[in-house]
Amino acid sequence: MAELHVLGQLQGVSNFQDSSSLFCRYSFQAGPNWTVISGCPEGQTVSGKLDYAKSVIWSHPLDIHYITKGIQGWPKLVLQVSCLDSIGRAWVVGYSCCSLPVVPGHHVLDIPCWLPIATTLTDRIREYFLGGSHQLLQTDIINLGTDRYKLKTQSKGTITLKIDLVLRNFTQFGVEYK
Amino acid sequence: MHDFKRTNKISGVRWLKEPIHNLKISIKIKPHDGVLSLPKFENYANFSDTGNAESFDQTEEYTFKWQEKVFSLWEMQRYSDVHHCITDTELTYHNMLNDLEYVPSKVFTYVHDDNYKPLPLNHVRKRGNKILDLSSCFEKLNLNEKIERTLLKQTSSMGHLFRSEENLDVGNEQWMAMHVVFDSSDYNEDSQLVFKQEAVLVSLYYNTTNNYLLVCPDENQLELNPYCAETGTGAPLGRHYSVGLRFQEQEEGEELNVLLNKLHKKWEKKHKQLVNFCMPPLGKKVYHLTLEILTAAEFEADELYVEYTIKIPEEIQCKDPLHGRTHTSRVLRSDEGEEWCFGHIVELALEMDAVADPPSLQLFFEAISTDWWGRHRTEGYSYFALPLQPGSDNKRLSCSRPEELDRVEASSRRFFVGGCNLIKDLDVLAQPQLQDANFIFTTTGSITLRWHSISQSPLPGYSRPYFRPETSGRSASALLLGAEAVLRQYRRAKAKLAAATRDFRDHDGSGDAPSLTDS
Repeated sequence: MAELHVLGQLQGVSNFQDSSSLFCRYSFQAGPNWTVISGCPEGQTVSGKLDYAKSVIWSHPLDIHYITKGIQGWPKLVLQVSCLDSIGRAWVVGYSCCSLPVVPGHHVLDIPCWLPIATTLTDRIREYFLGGSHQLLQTDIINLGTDRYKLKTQSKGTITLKIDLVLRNFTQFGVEYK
Repeated sequence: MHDFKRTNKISGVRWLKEPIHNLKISIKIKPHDGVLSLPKFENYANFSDTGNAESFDQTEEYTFKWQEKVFSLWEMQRYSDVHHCITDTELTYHNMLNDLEYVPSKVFTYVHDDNYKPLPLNHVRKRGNKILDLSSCFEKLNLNEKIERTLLKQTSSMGHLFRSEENLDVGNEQWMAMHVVFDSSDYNEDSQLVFKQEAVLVSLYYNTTNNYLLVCPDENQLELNPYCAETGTGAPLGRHYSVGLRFQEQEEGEELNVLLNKLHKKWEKKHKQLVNFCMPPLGKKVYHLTLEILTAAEFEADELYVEYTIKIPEEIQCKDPLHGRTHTSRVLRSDEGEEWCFGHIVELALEMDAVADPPSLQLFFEAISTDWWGRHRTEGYSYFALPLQPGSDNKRLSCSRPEELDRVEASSRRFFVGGCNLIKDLDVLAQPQLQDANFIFTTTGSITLRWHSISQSPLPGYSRPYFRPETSGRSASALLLGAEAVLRQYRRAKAKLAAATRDFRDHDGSGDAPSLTDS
């Protein structure tokens, strides 16, 4: 059985225009061939205020160990950035997803974020004065490309992910990754 | 001094790490070292020195297994005669004595079925007679109803506060007892019992529910802290003894090894099924490509989406959709410029012959803008030949769009009417030299891509393992299980029949039947 060890950190987010603190929920998604044997595939970073460069540093550690019996369904990281305002309300301000690299070693990935925008004027006014946002009911749409064309979104910032990958036993099964 | 000896018997509690059936109880017993017990000179005058020393050591050692029945002399006499045997246990002992030759022992045992002494919980109950007084108090105070109500509520934690030993629904079954007893009875010359006297050397109570053992008295050493054998009334019998408990080595070690081996084989079989790596068919090579359309930049419009078309060569088979579009994204303006975020993932599983060199995939992108009025305009085209080499990479693709020769007319039509899909045949992007190039291209923006490609080819000598259909295996095992169940039932029925007809056979053979005819 081949193994994939993902080590790294969710470095932070940049170019976000929100004024509130930002935090990120993440979730590793993989196909049925993949099994997590250690590490938590889901988590949440701390909440951080934006600095003068409109960026937040989380440096949230990631450590997950997969075993797999097939290369189908290579793991992806689904991210959801939320803001926390001064009176404790939180809502989603960005969705994003990235596929993990297949090459072992160090990688720095920039992951763009987007958010469904309010389609009606009333919603826009409500969002402007009261806060809140439109959220996806089906979060599968984040990591699946199909049916995404119906969405109208606002481009948000970029999440930076720094990861190191360790692959083991893949070559034994005729897998080439490099 | 006498009192001190009496108090040196202390009970012990053992949490068992091994099965109770492996327990061995050893009792060492010797006469009390007194003046009277010393050997007389006349008896040993003719013996050598070493012989004297050996014969002087009168320590006897007895070892018993857990629930091993050892008979005393009077027990053997009693159970040998079937007329004295009434209960099932006594009849069992009678049969045991008939079947095997037992030697009477001075130190013998009472097992659980003998019910020799009350079990530990019974002690408590007997002591706790004051509970009755408490009950009467409750009756007087009219508290019974309230307490019952409280006790019936199993979910209430308060209910446990009122639980007493009277309420404990604990049967005697949770304890198993065994007693090792010293027989100091007097027998006449014909070995007939004259005066029955016995002293309990050690009592063991095993709690089956919580798996612990009460030992009364606890282990000791004969040389350092011997116990004095006493009758139930406390009269010393002039013997010192020690108690030792140990767990015998597992005799069934080999069996365990066999079982472990079988288990390991079973596990390996299951493991193989589980961990069998998905391999491509023989002679085929499989590619898994993950393509991410990350961002777009430097376009003029506010809202943009990207339409993509993937053309794969004929020698590659792919079942995934090869055409699609991203969501519409509104521009993000920052100090670093304008950016449209997509993060759109396209996954492709490609299959081709293992021997052939992998050709490149043709990727065509069309960036299309939308405006508030719903008009779509092509902002730019891009083409990229993606090499099917394993690895991860990213690329920034420049986009351009064809512009008509009459710029004024084209610009005004584009502004007022819009329009997309300016190029009907996208091959013109891949092979521009073969087409009529009677128009110019205007560079508009860029699209950033990232892709990860991984390939898998069948290993030499690897063949897809053949899985036996599970249904047949299940039915076979079910059949075996059924046969075993039937055999078990048969054995039980046979044992029951034997038990039922045992008395009948005994009557026939023992001569009781003629006595009936006599009467």
